[in-house]
Amino acid sequence: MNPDLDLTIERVIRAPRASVWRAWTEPASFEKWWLPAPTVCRVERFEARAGGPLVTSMSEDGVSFQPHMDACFLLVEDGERIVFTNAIDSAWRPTSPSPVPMTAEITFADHPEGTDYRVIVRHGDAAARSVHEKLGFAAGWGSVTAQLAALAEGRNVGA
Amino acid sequence: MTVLAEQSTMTLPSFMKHLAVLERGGLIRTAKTGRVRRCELNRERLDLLDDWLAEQRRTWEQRTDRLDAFVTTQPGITQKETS
Repeated sequence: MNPDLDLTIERVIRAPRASVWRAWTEPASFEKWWLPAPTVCRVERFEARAGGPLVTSMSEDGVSFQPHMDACFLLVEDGERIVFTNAIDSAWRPTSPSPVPMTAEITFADHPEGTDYRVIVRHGDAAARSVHEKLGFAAGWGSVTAQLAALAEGRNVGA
Repeated sequence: MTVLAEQSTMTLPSFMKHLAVLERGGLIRTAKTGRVRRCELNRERLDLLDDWLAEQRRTWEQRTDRLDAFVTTQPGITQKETS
């Protein structure tokens, strides 16, 4: 876990673990929550097993769909853990997906009030770099800028 | 600008060069009043540099909210649990 590159989410969901697991692994359920309404998500290929495809498309009008995600499951432990990545597509080809390449690890555990649901999303250095490149900076300018900001905010910037 | 440079270990000319690059990149704005040149941070543009992770966090938080809402409001999915 690298706090500059990774994020974690922990949530107690007030539903049985098996229900949360099904909502995640049954395509008809998955597509109902994966994308925010009014965008419509459609599962194109979904095989919850190591190496299996996780391919979705999306639509604003519910009629014409465009590709959304072409990812690959890395690990699926029944009822307990799912790991998938978009850095390898469903044909196992390395890709540079938009907005950023990531590996997501989702764990499901029993909790007295339902399900202890946790997500760890790991990003590569390339993710941060692509943002820098968009801004037209060479690597290294981010930290220089951060130092300048700290310096400037420590006291009033002036003459 | 000299106040900023004094706090840096760089020489003033070197510091000016760095500031010029930051200004070209739109991260700071400078304005000259008489003999005094003031620097101003462009917060919005600075935020772009580290905001990509915050953006991803928002995406995943909201996704978790929707999963939560889905499993707690769909009666069908919990009924299946008991069958």
